[in-house]
Amino acid sequence: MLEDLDVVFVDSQMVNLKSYEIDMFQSQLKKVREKRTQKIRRIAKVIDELKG
Amino acid sequence: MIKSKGMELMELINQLGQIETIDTEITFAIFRSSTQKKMEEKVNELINKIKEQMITYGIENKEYEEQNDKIIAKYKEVLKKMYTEYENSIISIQLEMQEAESNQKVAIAGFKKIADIKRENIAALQNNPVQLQKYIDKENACIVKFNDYNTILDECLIETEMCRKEFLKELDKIHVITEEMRLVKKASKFQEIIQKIKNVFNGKKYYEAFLNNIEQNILNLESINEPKIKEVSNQNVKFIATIIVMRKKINNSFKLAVS
Repeated sequence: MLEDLDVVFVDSQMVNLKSYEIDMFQSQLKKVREKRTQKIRRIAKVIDELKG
Repeated sequence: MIKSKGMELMELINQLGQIETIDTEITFAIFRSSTQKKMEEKVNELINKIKEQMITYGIENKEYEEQNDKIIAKYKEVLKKMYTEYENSIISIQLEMQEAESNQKVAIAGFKKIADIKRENIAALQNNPVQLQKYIDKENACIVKFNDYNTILDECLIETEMCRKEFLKELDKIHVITEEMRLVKKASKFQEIIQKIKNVFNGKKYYEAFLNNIEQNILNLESINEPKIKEVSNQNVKFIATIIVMRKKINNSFKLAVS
């Protein structure tokens, strides 16, 4: 038991979370949110065009 | 041309949904990995301290294995209890976000439907400005509904990050290994020999005193955490209640605008 240092005590659906770094997740999230903003802008533009 | 714009709008809604699913997954990954890393550091610190004390007092691993395991398991249990409460808060916030995002998509689909009807009947509507205005108002109501749900999304994003940071802060406050225990005195060769002699008579006594101290600190941590866990839960209930009120307001304003 004392040797069992690699205990993962939170079950997660994500595959091997330990192999990822927080910074990488943060930068992925930043990119995803930028992408969302772009889509929203595009939606607003299409809506304007449909309104005529 | 207009018809393809309508199709583009539906395609954009679909893409938006995919982006939002990824956003939720990454948000959870950030919460889980950052907090799990910190919890593991805490547990490993305790494990290493136990090992160090066993060496210092000349203790055989087998003799205290069960007691050591019990203490480590209790520590994990206390940490996990805190984790679960914060994770539950984040799950309920994310569910509210999903609800808001769905309502945004419904608003866009509603807009498209009204815009389609308006376009198909434009010849008749041009002779009926009152009716035309009603369609324009309904279109605008859908856009307002979409934008209003952004407010809920913004609130949820702030609350999610606050929850994660607060948990990390709480983890930083935990010290089952006291400053006194943390101090490792550099022993000379002579002192080491003296310690070995002392260990023959009192090694177990000193080690048991150390374990008792740790056990007590974990129990203290558990009792300190109880009110904190309740506070986290209450804070979450309050937040969700605020979001529900905001949602009702948005939906009522929309109903009023389209009726």
